[in-house]
Amino acid sequence: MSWLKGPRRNEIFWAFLFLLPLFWTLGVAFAYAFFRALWWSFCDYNLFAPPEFAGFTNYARLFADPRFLRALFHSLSFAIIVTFTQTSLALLLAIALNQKIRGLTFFRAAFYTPSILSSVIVGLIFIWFTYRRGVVNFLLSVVRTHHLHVLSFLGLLALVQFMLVCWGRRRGLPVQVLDPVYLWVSLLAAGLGTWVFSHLHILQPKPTPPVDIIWLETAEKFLGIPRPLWAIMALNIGTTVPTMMLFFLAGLQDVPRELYEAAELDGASRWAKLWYVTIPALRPVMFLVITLGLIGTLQMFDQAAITSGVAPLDSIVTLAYYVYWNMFGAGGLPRVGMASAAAIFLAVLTLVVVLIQRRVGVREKAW
Amino acid sequence: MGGRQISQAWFARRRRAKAAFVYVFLGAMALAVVGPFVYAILSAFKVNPLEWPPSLHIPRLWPPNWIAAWKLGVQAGNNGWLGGWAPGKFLSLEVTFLYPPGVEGEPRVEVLRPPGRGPQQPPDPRPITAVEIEELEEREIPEGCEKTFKIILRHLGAQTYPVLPLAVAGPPNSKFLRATLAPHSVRGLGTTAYWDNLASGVLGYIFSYFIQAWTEFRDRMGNPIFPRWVKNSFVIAMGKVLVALLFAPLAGYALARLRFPGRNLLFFLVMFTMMVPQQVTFISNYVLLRDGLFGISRVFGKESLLNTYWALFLPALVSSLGVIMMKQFFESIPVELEEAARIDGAGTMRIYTKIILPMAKPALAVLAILTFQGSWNEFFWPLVVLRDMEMFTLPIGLLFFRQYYGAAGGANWNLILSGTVISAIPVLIIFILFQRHFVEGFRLSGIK
Repeated sequence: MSWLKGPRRNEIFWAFLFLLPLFWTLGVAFAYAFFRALWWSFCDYNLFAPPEFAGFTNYARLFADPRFLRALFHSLSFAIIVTFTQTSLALLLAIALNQKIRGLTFFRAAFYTPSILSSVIVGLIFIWFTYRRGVVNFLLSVVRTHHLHVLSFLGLLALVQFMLVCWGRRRGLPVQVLDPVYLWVSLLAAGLGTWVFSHLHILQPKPTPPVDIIWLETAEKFLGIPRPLWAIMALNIGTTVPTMMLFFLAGLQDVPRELYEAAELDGASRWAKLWYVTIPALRPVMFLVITLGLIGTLQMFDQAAITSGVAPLDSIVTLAYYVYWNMFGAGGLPRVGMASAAAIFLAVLTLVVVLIQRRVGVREKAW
Repeated sequence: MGGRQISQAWFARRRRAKAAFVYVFLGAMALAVVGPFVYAILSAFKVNPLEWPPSLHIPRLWPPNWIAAWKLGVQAGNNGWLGGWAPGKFLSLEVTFLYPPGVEGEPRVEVLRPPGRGPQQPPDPRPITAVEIEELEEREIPEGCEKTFKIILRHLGAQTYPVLPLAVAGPPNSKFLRATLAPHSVRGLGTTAYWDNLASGVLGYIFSYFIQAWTEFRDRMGNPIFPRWVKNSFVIAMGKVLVALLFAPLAGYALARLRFPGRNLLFFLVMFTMMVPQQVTFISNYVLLRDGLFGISRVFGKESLLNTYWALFLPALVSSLGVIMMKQFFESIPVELEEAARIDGAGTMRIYTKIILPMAKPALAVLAILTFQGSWNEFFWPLVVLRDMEMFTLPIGLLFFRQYYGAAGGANWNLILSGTVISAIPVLIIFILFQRHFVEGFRLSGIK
């Protein structure tokens, strides 16, 4: 036990002292709590009578409870759809926008706003926006009333761009389909054309009743997933994509130029460069973003709890909310056993999903 | 595809056009992200934020109304800012109605009972008021006749009132057109203009819903509760910042620099806690606090620690994120300084307080800011342990606000939005002042 002597012992003593608060948190608030939850998941317990051992009944009851199965389905589909969509959208945007951006501080401040505000603020504004006569339905109504304008704008845009590109190629210029200079011209022309059409009353707003989609107070489903959950997914994706895009942009700026130059020397096409240089170089960032995203979305609680006052429980229940509901929301005495079993299940599920992702999805290493 | 010579300028134009697209797109994205928040802030000034169609016509944000509110406030209570309806004062208001052909009669003026609920209302709050009304001018327009009336209200009582609600009802089939101060609402098929407070002064007029959200909701003793929530949020956030500044660097330093058996295992455990959902540990921690921390709280005469400030500090004394952040920071500073100090005979504690902590100031700032923001926004744990309304923090209180005000067809969303805006202000200020630190924090906390 030579390491227990002299200066080393002194260092261990100080380390122990420095770590005391951490030991408290890890020991009591984490490990003790973890094992107690594990123990209670095998017990009948209502917080008042002492816990009684009940074997696997809680787990059996969980899988017999349709609400739990719904929650499981919701959590899994939420995690997979949100993580996949936000990561790929952010990646695509980052690649499309990849260049040196001035005034990044301003955009960053704007993009971070939803993540620095509390989920309750975001959730309340979300509820207010998705009222039957709320802003979302209003915007949809505007689009519906003016769909002819939109169509004419898009049609003109495609037409003018097509003509310009043909004209450019005729002159022997290496123009791409989405040539940016021509695209500005086409945008201007399409806007002007639509304005003139509507001014000459060729295009008129079609009087239609307002869009009447009930977003939250409904049990209706689309593709098996309740509409309120779709709305929450959209909210999550919309608020995370911009920040995630900034991470990817930062990652893109760090890709060594030599790699691209070497690829060009080998005659690599744009797509080959994207597929063999850019994507692999971003893999460490992607791994982190996907893993953190999966953990966060699998354990989604806040939005479910905040919308629970508006949307029916079975339309928004997730595993995390199911746990809380068994403790405080079900009426009657808390069902600690069920709650603990569901919580342990959620923890194991998180671990399994993260490991599976690591095995079959995006790896940690770049090459 | 001729072998035509293409100038450098041609490519430069493409690059600039593409850059313009990028900036326009980023701007649109920023607008889409921030727009809802800006619109929410504006709507907190609206009579009905759920109006259809939604509009940006907001009388409370229209400067001519500010001037009118100022003048009325000066007339009614000698106070242009906050108003008040004081004894001996008089107040004059011009109201214009449209009289279609065949419609006759003067408008009826009625001083109303102040709206709102709660025990703070006096038994009969109607100020004793004398009303005079005279016709100022008539103007013929195609639809009929525009008549402008001057209404003079005199306070004959002996008491100052904070609120002077008024309704001016034109005869049937007439139509209210405009007044010195835009009314709160127009009712009775357009015949009746209604003001919730004519003597509000300019601040009382602009921020009336903020003031209402701040003061209206009261506990059994009659004290407003919203300020309590703000205070709770501040006390808890400040406490958490202090605790974090004290303990997280200690643990981070030990994990980064001190050698002891099981160091890697400990760090792994810290990382692991980030993956385990709070839902696993909250049950036991809830019971722990209910039983007063193994009964220790009974020494201080408390049966249970639920529903106290302690409940929010004690379980998560040190956050894993803070420890990881500090560890990464300490690993990034050169070890030579400490070694030199050690050779000079300085002990661990001395090195920590005299060398390490002063160097860690930037990281400590990041830690403090992120801790404050995290605590201010924390939702799950306060929701579990706080039961009494007086103990709520702002997020829990706001959720309660929504249930209370948003229930009846969403009638009072201006109050919910006002509360939301108030609760966002501290974090927004901190974010604007220390944006760099936030970005640093997001970077340090894993996404590098």
